[in-house]
Amino acid sequence: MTDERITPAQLDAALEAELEAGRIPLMRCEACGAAFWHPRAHCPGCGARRVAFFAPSGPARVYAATVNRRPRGGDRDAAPVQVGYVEFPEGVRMLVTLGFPDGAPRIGAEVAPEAGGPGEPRLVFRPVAGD
Amino acid sequence: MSARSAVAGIVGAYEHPERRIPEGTVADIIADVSLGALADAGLGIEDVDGFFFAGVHQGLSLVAMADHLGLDRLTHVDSTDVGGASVVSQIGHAAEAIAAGSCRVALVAMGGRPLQAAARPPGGAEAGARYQQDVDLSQIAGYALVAQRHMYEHGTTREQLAQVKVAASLHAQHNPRARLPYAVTLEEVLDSPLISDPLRRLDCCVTTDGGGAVVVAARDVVEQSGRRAAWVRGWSESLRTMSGGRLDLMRNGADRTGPAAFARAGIGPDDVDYASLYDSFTITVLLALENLGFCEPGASGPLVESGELLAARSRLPVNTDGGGLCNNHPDRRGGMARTLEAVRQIRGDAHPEVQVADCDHAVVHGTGHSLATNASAATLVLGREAS
Ligand SMILES: [Zn+2]
Repeated sequence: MTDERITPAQLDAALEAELEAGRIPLMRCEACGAAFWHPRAHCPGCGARRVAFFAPSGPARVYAATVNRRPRGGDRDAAPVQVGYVEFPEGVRMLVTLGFPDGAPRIGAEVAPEAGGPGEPRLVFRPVAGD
Repeated sequence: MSARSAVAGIVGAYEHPERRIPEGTVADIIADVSLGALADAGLGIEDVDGFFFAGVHQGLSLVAMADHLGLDRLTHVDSTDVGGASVVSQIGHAAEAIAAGSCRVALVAMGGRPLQAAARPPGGAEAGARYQQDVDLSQIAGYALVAQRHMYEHGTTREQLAQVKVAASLHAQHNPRARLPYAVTLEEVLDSPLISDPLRRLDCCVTTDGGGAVVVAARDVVEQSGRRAAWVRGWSESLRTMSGGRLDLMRNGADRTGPAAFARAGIGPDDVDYASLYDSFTITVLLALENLGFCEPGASGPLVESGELLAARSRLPVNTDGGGLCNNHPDRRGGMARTLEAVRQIRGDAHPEVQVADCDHAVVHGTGHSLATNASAATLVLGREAS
């Protein structure tokens, strides 16, 4: 997709493939080099149409986190959901589902994506050992 | 930008007295508040040539609403919708339209009945649908992210957040129309159910039916009316979006709109006697205080703890009607309700227990959509004198 624009259908298919493979859906502009999130078929920095998914250059750390005890539109009986922003070395922050085993996500902790378990989203960012 | 004399003033204002409205339609509410504001201005439907209304989110277009009201002489219309800050933006637009000669009597109205809706409003997927599919971010969870980050960066405490609610409630006890017209203690806030860490139920604004309207009029119309006006001295609007992932959760857009609005008005934060700050959640107020320049970044927690928001003892009373946290939040949008209390303060019409003596300058700041993702910001500076 280097020299031609990505169509919305192609973008959706590529995003599905990224998530199914357990990869982080970060995108980068092949014209200006800016990394960005959320996924879209053009660069929000320069407007170029040549954009592609790429792997970040280093680990993600938690920038903000919360435990939502009324998820799914306010359901009191649903299990709490951990959500937050993680930050990549490129300076981009991404809204994700977190999965801290102790139920207490921590700002600053290093996290890595794993395939979500039953009832979880496809991608869950869990703390790496020692963090 | 050099300050100049205001060319437009808010000369009529009306707040729907009810907080639960089982009868009628949204259009009926908006007719009630529009006629109320026009009567307050000593004007009639036939005088209105500018109409500012955002209702498409409710299935009510500006065109249909103009027909319902009987607005037959319009020369300027504006349905700007930036969420909860819409009305604050629209009042700025009305002042611009009047300055440009596009209209002379602008009606700005809103209303809604969220308590009567069978289902919750749909989430705002829209352009961001591709990121939301795997993240369950409710409105309160989003603001909880902002609160957690504020506590992490600045050492803000849970108690300091709670003091925002306590201050609002101490004002609301003087407002018999308030949804929660009584004082709330620090302990009651801290003991209320935890919804999304660290935010608890009493960190949230109330949900109410209701609405309100203001009439913004050209200087000669104001002077002929003989009514006291809240002059529109300064205004500014902006958006703080996710910026491709480069968003800063400690910014709410007022870092742009505050300086711009103050420059237009020719005053600074220290000249402000009263502030209506959008308070969808307690954390929303802390960010507004910092970004508007009422304190340094990170200093809002200690400021609130010192009682700075309170009418009885403060240099800068905030939300003296009880705000969205205790008074009302009609249509889940606080911009109009917060504006109306600022107009009361400027005109000397606030409750005697909370009226600011010699209120020369008031600020209204609206925060729409979500501070966690895409936020709108709109700031007004209102004055007792035109210059
Ligand atoms: Zn680019």
